Amino acid sequence: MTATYDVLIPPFNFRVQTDIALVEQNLHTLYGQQVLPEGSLPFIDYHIAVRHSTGLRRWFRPQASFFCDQHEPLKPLHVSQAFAMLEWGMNWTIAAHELQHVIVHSGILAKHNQAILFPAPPGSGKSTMSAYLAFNGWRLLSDEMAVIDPETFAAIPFARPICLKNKSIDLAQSWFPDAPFSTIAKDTHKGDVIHLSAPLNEDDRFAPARIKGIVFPKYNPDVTDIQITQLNQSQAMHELADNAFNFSLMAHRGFKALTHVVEQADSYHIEYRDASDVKAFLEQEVLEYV
Amino acid sequence: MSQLSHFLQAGVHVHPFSDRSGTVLFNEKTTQMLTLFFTQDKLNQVLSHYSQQIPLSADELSMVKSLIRQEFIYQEPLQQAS
Repeated sequence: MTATYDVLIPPFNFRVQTDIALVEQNLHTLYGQQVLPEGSLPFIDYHIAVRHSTGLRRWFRPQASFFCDQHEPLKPLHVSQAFAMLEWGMNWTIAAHELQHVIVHSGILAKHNQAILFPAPPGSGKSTMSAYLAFNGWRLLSDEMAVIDPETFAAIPFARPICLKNKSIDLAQSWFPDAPFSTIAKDTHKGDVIHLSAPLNEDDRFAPARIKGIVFPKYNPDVTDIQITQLNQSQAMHELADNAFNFSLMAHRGFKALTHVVEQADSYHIEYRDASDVKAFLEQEVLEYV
Repeated sequence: MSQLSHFLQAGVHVHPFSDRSGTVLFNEKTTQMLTLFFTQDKLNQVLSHYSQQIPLSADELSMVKSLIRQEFIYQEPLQQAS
């Protein structure tokens, strides 16, 4: 049986259709009251679906397929990975279509309405660090995609579950035993993955934040203390642009937004072993207290 | 001194960073972006020297050729100026 929901994930409204019970279950676990009956939202930005693949793959080694409108941009995955596929499909949908906001491949969290961008490649420990901060007084704006308003240059929340992989799964489950986790998707192309919903105050769901810092993190188990290197604006721009999905398509607006973000932020490379060191550094050295 | 704006192709935007660490250029037509670790004053000076055939260092010459090749600046006015 196919279920259809409107899912409110500011700044976007999704309509999600699925005939896979695992997807429906995880959707409710992680998005809670953001999952609404079909037709609840006045308009829909993106129509997406995760459905059982048809034909032989419906029954033999069953697979799931992701659709954005009528397109199937991702290869089918084993049906046990269907919820992870929905999350990755949402990422693809925004990266491929969004032209009203500048999208940066980056974690982003805020405290006192001052946001820190964490652009980093896979394996940098970004998501584990994001989870730690999100459960320790920081507000998650996004684990994966920073959304920047090209007019105000502020970061807009696009808060979705944090994607944790492999060893980080046990760590996060020990840190936050009562938090809402998805089921584990085993043996994906990223290894085992789980999604974790971060706490979010209703009042903050739509609240933008000024970007105060750009931190390029790298997890390094061999360092004893956090290693911090400040970047100049040219270095920061060079690296930030590598992580910006769509600024070139937004032409001058995108370029202006990125340069403004770099101008208003302090930028750093950090190598860390302990996420609590990152938190202390950000709170003591980067954030402003008025 | 020659101004950078005299050399820029249409649709190219320039942002000199306030910490004077460099300058970034963006070409709307090609969607190429180039970060230069030169201030805008230094860039003006290099282009001025190039157009006047004053010898440039290898790095400076390489930068000018890169700007031309990636369609950030016109080659023609530079040749006419020289």
